Amino acid sequence: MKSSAARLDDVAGSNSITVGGLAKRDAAKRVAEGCRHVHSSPLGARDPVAVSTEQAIANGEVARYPWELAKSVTFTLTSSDERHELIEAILGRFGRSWKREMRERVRSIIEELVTNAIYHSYRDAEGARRFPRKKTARLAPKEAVEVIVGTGEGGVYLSVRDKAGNFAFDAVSSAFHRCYGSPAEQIETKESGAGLGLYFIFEAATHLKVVNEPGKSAEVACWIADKKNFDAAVFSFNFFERRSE
Amino acid sequence: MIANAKALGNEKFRADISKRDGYTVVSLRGEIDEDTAFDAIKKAGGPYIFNFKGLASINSCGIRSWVNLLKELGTSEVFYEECPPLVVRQLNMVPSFLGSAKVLSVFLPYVCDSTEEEKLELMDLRDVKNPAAQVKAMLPCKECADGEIEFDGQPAQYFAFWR
Repeated sequence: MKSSAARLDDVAGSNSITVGGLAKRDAAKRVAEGCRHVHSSPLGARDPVAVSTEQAIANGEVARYPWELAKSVTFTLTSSDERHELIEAILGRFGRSWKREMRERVRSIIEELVTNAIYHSYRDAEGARRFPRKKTARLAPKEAVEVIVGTGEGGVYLSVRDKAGNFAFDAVSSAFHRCYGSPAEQIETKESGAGLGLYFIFEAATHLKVVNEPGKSAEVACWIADKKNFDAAVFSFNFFERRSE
Repeated sequence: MIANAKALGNEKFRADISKRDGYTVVSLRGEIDEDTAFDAIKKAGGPYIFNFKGLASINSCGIRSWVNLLKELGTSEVFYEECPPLVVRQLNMVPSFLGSAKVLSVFLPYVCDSTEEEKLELMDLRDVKNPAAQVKAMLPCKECADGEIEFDGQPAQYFAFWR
């Protein structure tokens, strides 16, 4: 689809919303340039998801989307090693009716979201990452990572929430800048990870939403449309920062 | 011809290494992630044929480990065979996952239009110039009397990695 994005509201600066018929690569470029809300839909600004987002931004709230109301189950993890068991449990419980591609997407998204939540979020007093990537990370019970899996009509809802709140928008914009840029620079060499996780998640998900509450929690949630409801021209990315009262 | 097969790996990952017509054939099974060690593969020496049929998943750190492995294999010839859709997805998203390797065959995803069952059909890419143009949109279903299977995707997107 031809990229013809129209900026609806540029007054709010970083909270501006870009709506249009976009390819994911074009949308990622907008995010890399600093846009926290990007919607692609043939309906343009009339798309209900874009309308909800715009209203929420105007009210200074975090948008709630219909798929977040899907019937869901919550799991908790206090160790990085538990993720393998968790993924098998989720696929065993819900995945029997899913197509191969959905099972592969869910497996990949949970793997990337959970490892991001555990290894990137939790920091020591100096702000350094607490857990080296190649070692098992163990969290205190109050730090447990929550994983929500919901199944609704037309797709699957996943949410992963940490109790650290260290998810900066810059992490997404720089990851998108790198991953959609030169192939030679896609992969990071840092110890904590390859820097491909957010790229994989954005590519696999239909709608992606991040809510960071600094020092408290960060939630990354997504909706993955199934084959029958998939439309490459319909997707969104939204990053909200919730300030503590 | 397959000889001297041996299995190496951990509980999540296994590499069965054998020889075929002068090539080291490595059949990969399970998950590739940050814990995966490729020492035995490097030691086996090239040229290599990596068979991906049994690969269940590969995470972002696994991708990096694989790209580093390719660098360490240096000038050895590398071929990929029997790449399932999850590997084709990586070939399309991360060009360095392919590097200078050549793809010999991939599995194409099809769905039966009467039972909705998913099937994988192997496509040999040797001597093929433009694989996307040769993907058959429909094929007879081997299990249904009158049914057909339909290609599940866009051929041009599926073969975006092809060069």
